[in-house]
Order: sequence, then C-alpha cells, then structure tokens
Amino acid sequence: MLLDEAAVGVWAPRTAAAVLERVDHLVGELAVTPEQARLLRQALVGLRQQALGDPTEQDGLRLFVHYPLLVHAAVSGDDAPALPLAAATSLLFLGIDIFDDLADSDLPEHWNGTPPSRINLAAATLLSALPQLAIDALGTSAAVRADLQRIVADGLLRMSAGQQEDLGQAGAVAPEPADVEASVMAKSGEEIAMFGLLAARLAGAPPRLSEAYTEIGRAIGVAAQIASDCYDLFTAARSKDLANGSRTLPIAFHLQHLDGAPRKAFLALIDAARTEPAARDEIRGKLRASGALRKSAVVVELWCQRAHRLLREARPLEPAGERIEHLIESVSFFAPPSDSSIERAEETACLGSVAQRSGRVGG
Amino acid sequence: MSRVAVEDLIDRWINEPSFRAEIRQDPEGAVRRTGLELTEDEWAALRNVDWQLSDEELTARANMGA
Repeated sequence: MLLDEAAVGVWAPRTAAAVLERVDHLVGELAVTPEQARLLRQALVGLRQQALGDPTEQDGLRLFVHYPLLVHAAVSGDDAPALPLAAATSLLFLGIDIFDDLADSDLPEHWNGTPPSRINLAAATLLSALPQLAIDALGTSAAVRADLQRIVADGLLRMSAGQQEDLGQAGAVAPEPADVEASVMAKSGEEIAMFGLLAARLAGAPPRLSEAYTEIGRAIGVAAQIASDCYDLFTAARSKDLANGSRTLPIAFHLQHLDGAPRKAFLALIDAARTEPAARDEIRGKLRASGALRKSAVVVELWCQRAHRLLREARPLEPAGERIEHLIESVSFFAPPSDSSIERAEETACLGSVAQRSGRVGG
Repeated sequence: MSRVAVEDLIDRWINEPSFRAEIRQDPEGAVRRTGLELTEDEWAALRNVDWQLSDEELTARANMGA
C-alpha cells in the first residue's frame, strides 16, 4: 500500500517514478535487439516528461498513471498491485500520444533527427506489443489476464473508430460543438474509460462497479481534454492547435453564432493564426468576448460533476476516493485551490518565475 | 438541459448585464427563473460555477487537464 504514505503531492510523483522505472525495466527485458531497446527508450523520454511534468502544478497527477492506481485502491484498498498495470496504461498512452504527434506534425524535441518511419515503428510497438506483454506478466489468474487483454483490444478498436470518424470530419470548416465533444468522448474519453475498466477488473470489481469506474474515467477524460484544449488556446506559450488549424471546442462555440462576412473573416483569421502571433492574440480576444471560453469551462464542469456523482455512487474505499475527487477537481476551472497548490504558487512567486506548462492530456 | 440551453444561459450572461448581475447575486434563483429544467449533474455544475470570475481570471484557471 503506497497510498497512505504521503500527501498527494508526494504520492503522485513517487508512484509516477516507480511506474517509469517499471516501464524502463520492461523495455530492457522485452526488447529483442539492442537497437529496438534504444528506439523504445528514445520514446520513453516523452513519457518521462509527461509523467513527471511540472511539479509546480496539479500535484503531479497524471490520468494515465494515477487513475488506474486509484481505481484499484478504491475497489480493493491497495494501489501497489496496480503498479504493473499502470506501466501498461502508460505504454498505451505513450503509443497513442506519439501517433497523435505524428499526425499533427508536432513531435517533441527528443525525436529531432529521427526519421518518421522509425517513430511510427516505435509507436506501433508501444501500442501493440509491450502493454500486452506487461499485462501477461501480471500476477493474477489467466482468466483475469485474458479479460484485461480483451479490454485493451476492445478499447483500442473503439478509439480507432473514433479517430476514423474524426478524420472524416477533418475537412469540416466549422464543426458543431456537439460534434467536437463527441469526438473528444470517442478518443480521450474512451482511453481513460479503458484504463478505469482495466484497473477495476484487476481489483476484482463486480460488473456494476467496473462500469462505474469506466464511466468516471470517461467523464474525467473528456473534461481533461477540453480543459487541455482551453489551456493550449488561451495560456500556452505556443498554441499547437492554432498552429495546426484545429477546431477545438472554444473555436466551435465561437463559429456557431457567426454568419456571412464575420464568419468568413474569423475563418481567415484561423488560417492566419497558423503562422501569425498577432492573429492568435486576436482569436483569443474574440473567444473570450463571445463567451466561448466560459461555455467551454461550463462544459468541463458538467463532465466533472458527472464524475463526482458517479464516484459518490460507487462508494470508493478511502483514501483513494478522496484522491479521485482531487483528480477530478484538478481539471475543473472552478474548484477551490488546494492548500498545497497555494503553497506552491507562493513558492513560485517568491522565485519570481511563472510556471509554464505544455503538453497533451493523458487521454 | 441540453448543451444548447447551457450555451443560451452563457449568451444571456454575456449579453444582458441585468442577467449577469442577477446570476452573480443569486445563481440558483436566476437559473430557476429562466424555466430551464436541469438534471442533478447540471444543477451541481451550475452551482459550482464561479460567476464572479472575470475573463482574465477564468483564463488563468485554464489547466492542462492532468
């Protein structure tokens, strides 16, 4: 049991480090050739950056590492047996993330100089071989392991269908907000739902409880992705979505009420924002003024409140339940700041620096 | 309540200073008076929304989503 040992701000990075160590060990143990191990370890640089992240924010909680650990503890009272599963979910997350970065031509620096064909190979290996072998090595019954393998295959199949639908809409100049939200649900929502279901089944949860943690994961995954999209658009030093011309929820909300010349002008502005910083600032101003950010924040809150309610109904064991509450609140725009985040903000202010975050959500 | 109703609510908040004042003073009453029918989750969300936050403060609350 690792959960009782420390406050969330200590538990989160400690368990993330333990999971990273396990992932690195898996790569060393399973890679067929030294070259393959080198390529996979290059990919793990990205995982390490995202798992440990910026310690000044959000208590270091990461959905792909911590949600499976917390669900296991919420069902069984112990998070430690889920560490190998968190290694598997981290590998799945990393494979999906690299494919996303490849599709968006937005690869992090550690891939500089590596041909796309090799990066593609790394992502395919991470997604289709290592998590399955990690699950196969879990110290549980053959029936449970087979169940978990089936959950992974089913989850990836659903995410693939979501991605295919998304590709079909990629040419849409102005998607409806409902379509954007459905797309987020089919990808990020489905990913965290899968992680919740894996952990619940490993912990021996009955079907109704497994379903609850699946749906809580889906709600947190959607809320987190929309929150992350808002962060990218309004706060990040460089908006990846504006650079790619992506129509995330705030953009869809804004476009929804534009017709004729104003709509044409805003679409031209989105195109210009791919390269022009002034156009990005203008977009941010327009989105705030039209209420697009506020609407997106309320949609995040709707998903957070759904997750809170489902969690109450699931009656989680403590302290895992409280930590899942904390995880949900970490993506809300309206949750009161925690004592630890206030302390960190004061420390940051004392150091005279502003924490800058960038990156993708864990789902 | 559908997403469209949420959007209408925010549009009123943006465009009608009197509604903005009303919702800041009594969020639950202001929403009830619109006649919208809300689910448990939707009421919980709207009760939790901080209607006092300015656009700048809301921007500062944007997080990268765990």
